[in-house]
Amino acid sequence: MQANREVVLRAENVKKYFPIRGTLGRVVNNVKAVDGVSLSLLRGETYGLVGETGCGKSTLGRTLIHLTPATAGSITVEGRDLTKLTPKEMRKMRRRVQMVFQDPYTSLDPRQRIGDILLEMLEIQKIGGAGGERRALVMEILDKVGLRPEHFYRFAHEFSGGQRQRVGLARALILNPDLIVCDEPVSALDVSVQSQIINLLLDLQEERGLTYLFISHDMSVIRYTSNRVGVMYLGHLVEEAATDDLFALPMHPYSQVLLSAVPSANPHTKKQRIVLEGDLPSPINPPGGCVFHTRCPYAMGVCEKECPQMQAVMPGHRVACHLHSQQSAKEEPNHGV
Amino acid sequence: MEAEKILEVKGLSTSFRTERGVMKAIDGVSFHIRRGEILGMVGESGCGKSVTSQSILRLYDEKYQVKYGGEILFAGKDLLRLPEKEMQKVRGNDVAMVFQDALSSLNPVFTVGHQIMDTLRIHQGMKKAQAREKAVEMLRLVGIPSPEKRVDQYPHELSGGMRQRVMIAIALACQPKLLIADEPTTALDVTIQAQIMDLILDLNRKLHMGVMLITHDLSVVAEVCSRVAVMYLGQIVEEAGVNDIFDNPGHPYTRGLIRSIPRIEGEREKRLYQIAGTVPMLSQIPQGCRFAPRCPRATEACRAQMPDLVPVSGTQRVRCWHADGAPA
Repeated sequence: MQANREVVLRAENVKKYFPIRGTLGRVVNNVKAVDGVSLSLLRGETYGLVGETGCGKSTLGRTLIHLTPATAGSITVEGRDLTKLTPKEMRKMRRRVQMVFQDPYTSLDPRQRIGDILLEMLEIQKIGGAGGERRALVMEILDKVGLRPEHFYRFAHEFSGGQRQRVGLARALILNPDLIVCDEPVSALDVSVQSQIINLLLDLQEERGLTYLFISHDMSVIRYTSNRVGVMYLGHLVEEAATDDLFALPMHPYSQVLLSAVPSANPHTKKQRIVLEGDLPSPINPPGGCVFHTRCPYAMGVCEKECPQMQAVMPGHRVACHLHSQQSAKEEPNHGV
Repeated sequence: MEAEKILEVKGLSTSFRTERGVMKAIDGVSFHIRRGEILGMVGESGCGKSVTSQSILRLYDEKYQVKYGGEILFAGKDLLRLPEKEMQKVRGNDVAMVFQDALSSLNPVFTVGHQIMDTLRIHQGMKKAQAREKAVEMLRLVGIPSPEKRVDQYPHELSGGMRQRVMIAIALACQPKLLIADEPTTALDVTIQAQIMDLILDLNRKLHMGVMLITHDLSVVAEVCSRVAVMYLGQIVEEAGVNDIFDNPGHPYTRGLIRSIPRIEGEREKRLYQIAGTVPMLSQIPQGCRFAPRCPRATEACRAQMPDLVPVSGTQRVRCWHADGAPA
């Protein structure tokens, strides 16, 4: 990964809290869905965001493109902070950043024809002139995602799962964005359809120089699609590395657990599995110190007290773990990794 | 020495009466499960793997909806010919089932303990106190911490992984000879999936029951199953030992499925393999071999006539006209 590639989106210390209201609407507590995440997306890359249910990966994806406003932190696209834009400016910015949702069925209006859904986007953004030109653009995009012209007149329910995801992709692409946030775009699909959609995503990226933020719970899918990977746990980014580095040498204990839990499609490999005790703690009252210390097989005294910061352990490989931070490595010479 | 067959399904077919006519969801499915073995049933949505499992327990409305054909031999009896009253004694007692969605399969208004006790009191005629003791024991067996406390909790108080464990506890309470697990981990995270799969493997060894594991995930199959049946459009297209399925798949569909899984290890290709086309609808089942329209090796013979599921080696059976040839 070249260090001097252009940054499409830079997020710094982004937080997203959902307030829990008690009597009389008083905020009694917060669900800390995303708690201080910093990352940069480089032009033309796929950044894979992986983690389990409730780790905040989807919320982060939505917050980064301002579908839901961030509680704190800054998100910079083209030199402008998304959190400070007026709604009108944001609408303009939407051309640059788009989203593909997990369930294309519930994210498409059931009463509108597919063609009209796509035309509406062009109308809102005032792209293309009269009906004819916009229509041509829609037809072009349908062809790009592997749909036929007659699909223009169909409704969402008339499509199969894979085709619907193609429509979702067409909708994200039609404004010609730089960045697309793909939130679990293939998890609802069967393997054979999944590979079709993944290949389509890769082809489109190559052709248009798109940047993807690819959110998935499936490590194998992430491995195929992403150049860099970020691992999330309970609202925190705990590790970030180039894909091959992360799969070859996961540094954070949680990344190791996650990787060891993925079943391998080879009956001859018998993997040594690290079984994690207990369940995910509640993001309302996350554990103090390192959020993972309650389930971590290597937890030390310092983990309960201090939250580890993201630190580069190798070029392009960042980890938030006391096992890898300089001073604690001296205190605890025989750490387990 | 091979263990006895506890279940033998012969030429099972299940048709549904729908508004658009009668649809044959599965057509001539035959397989068996031995004591202590885990059979994986794989295929994509709509291939009939769940219909097969639900047909074994006859869970469909036979009066208006469904018509069965063939035989399901269990402990010397044909389940399809059993009167409903007898059938009820089989369900949950000799043959138990775990469903994909534990939250909607558990009753929200009763405690989990109550639901485990129900099974025990109905099938084993246990008294309340005795059943409660056994319920706690079952919760402990499936690895739920502080079972004495959990037994009085409601399903919504448990996490997804815990609920699936409760489902397994209910299923195993009467020590069934056969456990049917229909996508038991699909809704769960990988770390929880690993826990549940380890549990099923462990209990399978301890209790020596047969397990039929229905899943769309070939990696799960590779990890836990001893034999595999691959289904496509209501038929078994290949059946073999787990090593043969992955090392030497005989059917082009099996090969396609295996090649299109993104792998967690080894070589990473630039593009994923994709199977051409899509699964046709049940109302438009193709002539001849059902996979022919999507098959890279299809010939005239394939389009004209349906191949049988024939043995190609000791334990491997393949439904393909080209199965004896070299793999493409």
